[in-house]
Order: sequence, then structure tokens, then C-alpha cells
Amino acid sequence: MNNQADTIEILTDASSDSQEWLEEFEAAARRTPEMRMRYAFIKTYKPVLDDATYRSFDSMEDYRRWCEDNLPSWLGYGRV
Amino acid sequence: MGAFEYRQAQEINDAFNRNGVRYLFIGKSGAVLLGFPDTTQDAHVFVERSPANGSAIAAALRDLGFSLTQEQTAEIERGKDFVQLKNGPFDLDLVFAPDGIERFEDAWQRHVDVEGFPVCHPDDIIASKAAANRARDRESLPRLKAFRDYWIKQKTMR
Repeated sequence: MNNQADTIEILTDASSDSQEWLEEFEAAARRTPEMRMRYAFIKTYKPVLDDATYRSFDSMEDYRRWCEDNLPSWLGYGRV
Repeated sequence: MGAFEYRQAQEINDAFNRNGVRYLFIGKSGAVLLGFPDTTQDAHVFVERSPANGSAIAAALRDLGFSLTQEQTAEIERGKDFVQLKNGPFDLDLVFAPDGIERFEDAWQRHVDVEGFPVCHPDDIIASKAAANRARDRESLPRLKAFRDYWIKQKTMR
């Protein structure tokens, strides 16, 4: 069995998403880490989050709560 | 400030290694180094919480050009759970206690080396995102889990 066939077995969900993902994983595997990072990292302004140069939190719970209380919900930092 | 670049990841690695920092790339930045194709904005590093490592992190950050006050330095040396730095040449999040991972040493034992970059194992990246339980993570987890399966399969075939 070839590599692709094996990998398709892993992606047991036969949705079109799975096939698309597999193709994306294989394309990324052919790239160097430098190329992967170049394609991955983007920069957009995130309201509130980007408005301070330093923040620290005693606990992750404090950080999560701060995100929920202060960041716009559309940023997606709130817990489900 | 522009997007985080590979060259900056190398600078982190060089400065952290020079100062003896114990750390791992975690989160989506770690996943990207492993080969996960997705977009992200933030570079996260999981750093061991210990007095020696805290001092080493502070020294490495100064080497990198981060401007740290005495109070900020003390917080990093003490190892607060989460520190968000936007006062240097690039943005960087220090995570001393990621959700879903019990101890740094456990993650270190499982870590993956990607061209000299120490990166959390995909299982640990998934565990931390699953435990964080944020909307943004929930969306990316199915694809990240499929990538983990693909990555493991590729490794066993080599």
C-alpha cells in the first residue's frame, strides 16, 4: 500500500474536508520550516490585546477570564 | 511590526540556547514548525518554571532586545503562568503553565526536534488546546488532530 492510501485510512472521515486536509498536509510536508512559517504567520491588529506592551497573569485561569472580560468575542479567545 | 518570521524564531533559539533556557515551541507556532499548514499570529514558547530558567529567560530576552522593567524581570524570574511580551523586536508569549500539560519535564521527554528547534509533541499541542477550550481552538482541533495522525504515520514510515 502506498503512503497516500495509508494516510487516507487514517482520515477515516470520508468527507471532502479530509481529502483536502490530506493534500494540504502533504504539500506542507514538502516545504522547509522556513517556508511553512512564511506562509503561516500573519499580522493583523487585535483590539485591546495589542494595546499594551506587557501583560502577565498569575494563573492561566486569570488569563482566560481576562480575555473573556476584556476582548471582543469575535476574536475567539473566550471559552466555549 | 510585521508578521513573525523564521529568522526571529532562529534568534529566539540562538538566544535561549546561549543562555541555557529550557523551552519548547508550543501552540500553533509549534504545530507550524512540525508541518501543520495553517495561519497564526502569535509565537508561544513553553518555558520551564525554575529560578535558574527564569533568570536565563530574562537574560535571553534582553539579548533579543526586549525592554524589561525590574518588575517585569522579577515576574519572569518568578515564573508567572502567562506573560505576554509586546515590548521587543517581535511579539512573544511565555507560557509557564500551559493548560493540559502537567509538567515541563514530561513535555520535554516527548518533544520533537525540527532543524534544531525544540517543539512540543503534537499530542501536547492538542492537549493544551483542548484543555484551553477556547472557541478559536475548538475550530482548529479536528484539523490539528487529523494532522497529528498524518504526522505520526509519516514518522513510522520513515
